[in-house]
Amino acid sequence: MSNLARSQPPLTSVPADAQQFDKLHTFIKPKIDELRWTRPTESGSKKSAIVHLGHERQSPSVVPETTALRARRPFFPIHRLFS
Amino acid sequence: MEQFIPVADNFSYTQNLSDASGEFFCLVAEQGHYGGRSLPTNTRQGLYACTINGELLASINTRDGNQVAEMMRQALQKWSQSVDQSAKQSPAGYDNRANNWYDVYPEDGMVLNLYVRDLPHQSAQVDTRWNLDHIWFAADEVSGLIPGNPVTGHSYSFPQPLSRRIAKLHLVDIARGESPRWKSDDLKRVEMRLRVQQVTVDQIDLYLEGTVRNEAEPSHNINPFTQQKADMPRGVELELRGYLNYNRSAKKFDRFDATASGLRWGATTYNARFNDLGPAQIGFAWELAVDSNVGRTPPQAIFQPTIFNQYELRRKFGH
Repeated sequence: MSNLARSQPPLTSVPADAQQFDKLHTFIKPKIDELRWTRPTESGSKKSAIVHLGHERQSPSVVPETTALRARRPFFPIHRLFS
Repeated sequence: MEQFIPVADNFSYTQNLSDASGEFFCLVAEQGHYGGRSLPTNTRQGLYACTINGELLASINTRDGNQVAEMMRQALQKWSQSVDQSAKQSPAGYDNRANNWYDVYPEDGMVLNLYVRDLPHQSAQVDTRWNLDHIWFAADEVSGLIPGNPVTGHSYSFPQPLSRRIAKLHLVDIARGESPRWKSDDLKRVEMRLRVQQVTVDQIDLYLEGTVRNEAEPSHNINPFTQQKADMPRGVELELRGYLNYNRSAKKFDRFDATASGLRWGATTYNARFNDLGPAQIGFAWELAVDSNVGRTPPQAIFQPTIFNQYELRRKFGH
């Protein structure tokens, strides 16, 4: 995700449901480009070495399924402190 | 860069170790830019280029990439002129099994990654800096999260020692830099509950919800570097939500995803908030950590003696 894309306001501070929870959780966690140490090469192109921060990421094929399962669960709203 | 081996280390931890790694760091740092200094602080923060025998080649404390590059060029120049070839050989007897705080890693417990970053403002571009910490649970603390007779819909309190530990030590605005943890008196409201969502033979699904409000008065100290106030009144007001899956046969969590989001305000000496006092949105995210060298990094708060004792006592005596 680019910095420009991240500048958009896609989130409220409090997730209203499981899908919003996933969106907020994913937003806060470091993105793959934030886990790379990037350095320019002599030719000007970029070469990266991934620095593992020790957490595993779900494959894209898994995310929609688990998200859908969570969405079917009953949701218990809590008092909203911040409006 | 290809001619260096990069090493990232938390010096504030290492410089206080009495083992070989602490001695090695101090050997290098005392030759560097802050060597011998005790005022206004004894910090040795910075970037060091050294040989594996501990001979300093160059050092600097800056975030300016050009200055770092120049420092590295000077280091390479000194390296190429070095006549002490023993500096290019590995020293004998390096003790990589020294006793230190890494030894209190909760082998049978649970470790969470905690990430924190600013959330988008409606009118301003969000700062993309982020930070991480770890939350440790002892084995009995993990089992203490699970009710003896789980029934769907049952709601119960998150164990208070754990909820207060999380609020006090981990819900701290470190998105841009270090910050002192909260004191017990700063915890104005800490409420966390778990609700049983689903129970099967193999698994218990839990929903975490809660609120945390912490507030701290400023110290009224003056920063000796800037001659400005060292901190400002600060606080967080957060709502917590999370989805937890407990594996009953393995007796461990397969999922521990949670967020704490809401407002933060104020500033501390090193958390770079003096130009952004807020209130503004901040978000914390937790997830299970994998067992790796990075994942075994102790919680930042373990540097506080009382906290270290807490973890250490739990490990030794189980309380």
